[in-house]
Amino acid sequence: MRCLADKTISMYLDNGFPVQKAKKIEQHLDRCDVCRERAVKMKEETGWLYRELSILDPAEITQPEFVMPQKTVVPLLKRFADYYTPGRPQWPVPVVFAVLLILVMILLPIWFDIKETGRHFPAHSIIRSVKMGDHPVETYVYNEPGTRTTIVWIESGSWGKQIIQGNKGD
Amino acid sequence: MRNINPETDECFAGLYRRHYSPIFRFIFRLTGETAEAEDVTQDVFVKLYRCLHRDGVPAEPKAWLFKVSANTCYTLLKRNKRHRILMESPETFTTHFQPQRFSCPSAEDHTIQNDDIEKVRHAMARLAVQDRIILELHHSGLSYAEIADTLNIRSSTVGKKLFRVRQKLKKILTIRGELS
Repeated sequence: MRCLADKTISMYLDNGFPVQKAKKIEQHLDRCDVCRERAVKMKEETGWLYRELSILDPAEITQPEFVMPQKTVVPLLKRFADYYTPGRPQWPVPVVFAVLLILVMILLPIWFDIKETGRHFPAHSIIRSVKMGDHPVETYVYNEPGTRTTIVWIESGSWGKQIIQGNKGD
Repeated sequence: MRNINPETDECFAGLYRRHYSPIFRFIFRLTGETAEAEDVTQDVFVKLYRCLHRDGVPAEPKAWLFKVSANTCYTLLKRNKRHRILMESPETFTTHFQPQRFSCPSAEDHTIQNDDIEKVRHAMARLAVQDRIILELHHSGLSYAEIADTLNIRSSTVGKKLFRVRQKLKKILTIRGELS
């Protein structure tokens, strides 16, 4: 067996090898005076180094009683107010609000359509709008993929729409 | 992990008593300030407390605590560049170190002690943050396997890195006339 590398001796001294490999190294150290001397020197140096490092230890350690920090519930408005502190970018909140508003404006009429009539009639599909009595009646042309054109008459109330008559035609 | 919800608080108290000192010492050696070390140690144990209630006892509580401490210190040192700041202001460091280790009360001995502290501190400050952490983990008595688990590296890598770091530190101290 060739002489051991410094790294190997270092790892051996730290008990960093499995038992079998450590035994092999031990056997070599028993036979080789040079490596044994190097190992002794390295052990002394490491001991000295760690003693030097111990100089940075704290003078005394007093173990304080553990106090779990209480979870505080911050109201949403307070969080919103806290957000506006100097140094924080000011644009995200208005942008998020604007996006939400646009989404609501688009999605709310669609939701009313679906809720009342079971389907969504886009605005461009109105072909006629007449008034019958108190409520306007709109004629829609509704194209469903794979079917023929459906014409429906919708009565627009104050809340949503209602199909009052529908027929199928080409 | 195993759940021990009914005894969680007792379990935590035991872990806190047993591991507070080594964790505090480890953090203090890295941060160098009593107040900061206390804060970080408190944070680490708060995380342990939450972990106990959420997931049960970690498989290796000691390794878990050192892992969280090492990660926290790494982030802190990287963010604050503490090691560099300390290098530039020796008085912040020397005031906290142990005077009782040196029994000689004379002013001359006190100066020698402060010189020694400063030399070691300067040498440590010249190491990379990760190297300091690995060295302090081993100095705190963790085995290669525990360090490997803490830093998510292989055991063989721990040996190589430790050897390299020690060589580097010895070299720095030798240059500063510390090694005879």
